[in-house]
Formats: sequence, C-alpha cells, structure tokens
Amino acid sequence: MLDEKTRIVLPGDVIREKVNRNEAGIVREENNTKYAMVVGMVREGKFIPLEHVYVPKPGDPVVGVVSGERRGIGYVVDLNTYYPGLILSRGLRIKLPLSSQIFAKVARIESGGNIVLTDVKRLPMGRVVDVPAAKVPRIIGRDMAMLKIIKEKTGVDIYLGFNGYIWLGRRGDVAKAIKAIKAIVSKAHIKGLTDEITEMLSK
Amino acid sequence: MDEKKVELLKDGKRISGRAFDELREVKIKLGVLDEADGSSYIEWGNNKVIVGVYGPKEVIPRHMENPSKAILKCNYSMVTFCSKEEHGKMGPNRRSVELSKVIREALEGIVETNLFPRTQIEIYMVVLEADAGTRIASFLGAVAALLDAGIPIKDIAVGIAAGKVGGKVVVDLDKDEDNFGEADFPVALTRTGDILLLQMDGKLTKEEVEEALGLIFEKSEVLLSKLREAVEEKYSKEVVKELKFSNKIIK
Repeated sequence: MLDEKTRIVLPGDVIREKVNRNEAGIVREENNTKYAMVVGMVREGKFIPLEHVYVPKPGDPVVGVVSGERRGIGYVVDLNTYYPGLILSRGLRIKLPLSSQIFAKVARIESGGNIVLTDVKRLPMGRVVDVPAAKVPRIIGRDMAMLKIIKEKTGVDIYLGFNGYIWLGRRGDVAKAIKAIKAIVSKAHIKGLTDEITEMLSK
Repeated sequence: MDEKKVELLKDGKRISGRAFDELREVKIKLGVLDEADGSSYIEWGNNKVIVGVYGPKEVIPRHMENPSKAILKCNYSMVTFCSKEEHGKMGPNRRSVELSKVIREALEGIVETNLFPRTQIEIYMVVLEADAGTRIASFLGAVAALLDAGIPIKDIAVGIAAGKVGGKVVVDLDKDEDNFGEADFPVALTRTGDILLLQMDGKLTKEEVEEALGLIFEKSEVLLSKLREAVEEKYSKEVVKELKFSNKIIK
C-alpha cells in the first residue's frame, strides 16, 4: 500500500522536511534539529503524522457532547480529550440540556486544564462519530475537497472537529457517509484516495 | 533445595542450539485490540505478551495527579496458565508489582510526560506464555503499543537480556538458562544508547559486564529494525476498523 516515495518515520528520527501540522505533541526541537515524537510518514517533502494525541490550541473548531453542568459556572463538554471542555454561562444565550451536541471554537486552555470554548452553536440531535484526530485533515482533504464530495454525494450535513468527533445530521444517506468516513480512516496513508471515495459514493 | 547440576553447554553450543550471540525469533504486531488507544502483541521465542495502552486521560484517584506532568500507570501480570510452574491467582503479587515498577520507570525515560500535565497514561501488559525474558518482552510490547497509540516519545527503545551460562556470556536467555545459569542481566536502552533499565541477578565480573553490554548494544539493532518493520507492516495492509459512536454520554 505504501509507495516507494513514502518513508515511514519513527519517534527519534530526524526530520528535515516541512511539518504540515500544528507541531505540538508531534515534533520536538533540540539544537536546531527537529525530531519526530510520533509515527508519521514523509511524502513529497512533507512530514505527515499517522498517529497522534489531539493537543488543543486556541481557534480549533471542535465538536462536543454536553456531559454536565456546573452551577454558576457553565457546562462541561466531552471533547474526547484528556481535559474536559467548558462553556462559560456568562454571555451565553442558549440553554444546553445534558447530552446536547455542540460545535464550538477553542478560546483558551486554562492552567487548571479546562478547555474554554467560545462561539458555541447547538446542533440538532444527530450522530457523533469518533475518529482518530490524526485522520481528520484527511477527511477534510485539500481545500475541503473530500468533505465537499461526501456532503454532495450523500446529502448529509457534517460538522468536523479537530478533536476527532464528527457530527452527522439526520438528513441524507447517513450510512453511506459513515461508510465513506470509515474508508478514509483506514486508508488515510494511501495516495489518490479522493478518486476512490468519489467512485465509491457514486455507486 | 538442592542445586541441580544441569549441563547448559554442549560441544560449545547452547542446548537450544543457538550461538552465544543469537536471539530467539521475535515477532511484533501492532493494533491488535480495537478498544485500546494503542496495542501490540509480541512473540519472543515462546514468550507471548499482549499490551494495551489507554490515555492520556483524567487521573483517578484525583489526588495522584501531577500538575506538571502526566503519570504512567503500568500493570504487568501473568495469566495463571502462562507456564508449567504454579502461578496462582492473577492479582498483584510480589513479582508483578516489582516488574510493573521497573517497566514504569524505564518508560518514564522516553515518554514525553511533560506535554500532558494532570493526566494519566495506562499501560497494561499481560503475559500469556512465559519462557524467561518476559520483562523485556513486555517493555518492547509497551513501546510498540505507545507507537500505535500516538503518544509522544523521545526515542524508540528496546530491551534485551544477557547472562552467563556455563562460564560464557550469552545473549537472550531461555527458561533453562535463566533457572540454572550463573547470571541474568536484563537491560533496556534507546537507539542513542541511553540505558533505561538495568538489573542483575547472579554474579558477573567487570569484564563480563562489559562483554555483555557489548553484545546487548550490538543485538539491540536487530530489535530496533524489527520494531520499524512492524510499523511499516501496519501501514502496508488495509485494515478496516469499525468506527465507534460516542454514545458513552448519550443515555
């Protein structure tokens, strides 16, 4: 499945190529040399991580599920991360009952570990699917090409979070969309995937 | 108990037929468990170890959390049927507590724990079949599972045991050599040669330790390339995994 131009990189290997992602938790720098910290691959002069833990940073769009309420403070959100998400009730105009699905942006990470969210949008009840965070950029595709194809061919509303949660609406062929996402996750390291997915969805 | 005299060397060769610097066959497989964040399965001679990694996640109990780094929780256990000897129940015993501790301390040398303060990373190692050298096989499995989980580590590392059998320094002891040999010397080390774990059972002279370390450094290259092959193999196959719906909260 891997072509000759692709090279697998293990932690501790020196990286001379451009890093295509947020470097937190993926690459470390020592004496002006970059070392990989996770398994990845080098293709066309770029280093792409194949597995990594999602490290939140301000501005990241995320999908979450409300898991609790802290009286006077706000809502606790499950973001599939090691710290809970937090929506502050100050300035919040909507009510969020337990297990409601939301789309938001990371505002900041508190020193205590809470991930404070902003621009919160409550989504209608749909399905939230869990994928590895390392595969999310592949589901989006270059200039959102892959995501556009899935949306067009299946007619499903999709919200993608960088944290690895994907929200799928109830309209359209949801089963087909999930099948496509599943295929992308398991074949993320293969070249020319967009054509394959287009073909798969056109059937 | 009377010490049995067992001849471990025959015609200048080990009873298993291996050369003094020959390893047993090692097979590594990544991603064997679906529920775990990372997992691996190791076959090292007759040793069979399965490892699962979970995390980073919230620390339970809360008072154990460290505000500056993640804590590692290692659990080494042997199943009751893992060897001919009596092993009793699978719960924590003297042996498993010691090995969990030494493996945890070795892993703390490579895992980038400072990236995830106030969290824990759980590593479960279960020995399905034991034939000497399970601590280093479990360590190798833990490193492979961490690679599979995508938890940041500084460098890949492997473990290797050397020892003294019939007056000769040999590498990778099997059960008979471990039980009736003169010394057992397990070491875990990174690619750059940083030693993460070093234990010794028995007696070795200074020269013999140097010789053993030389063999270990030489043979670690073989294991490091095995680890790389295992990762390459994982991505050379098309594995379709079931997606999980995050309905753990939705009641």
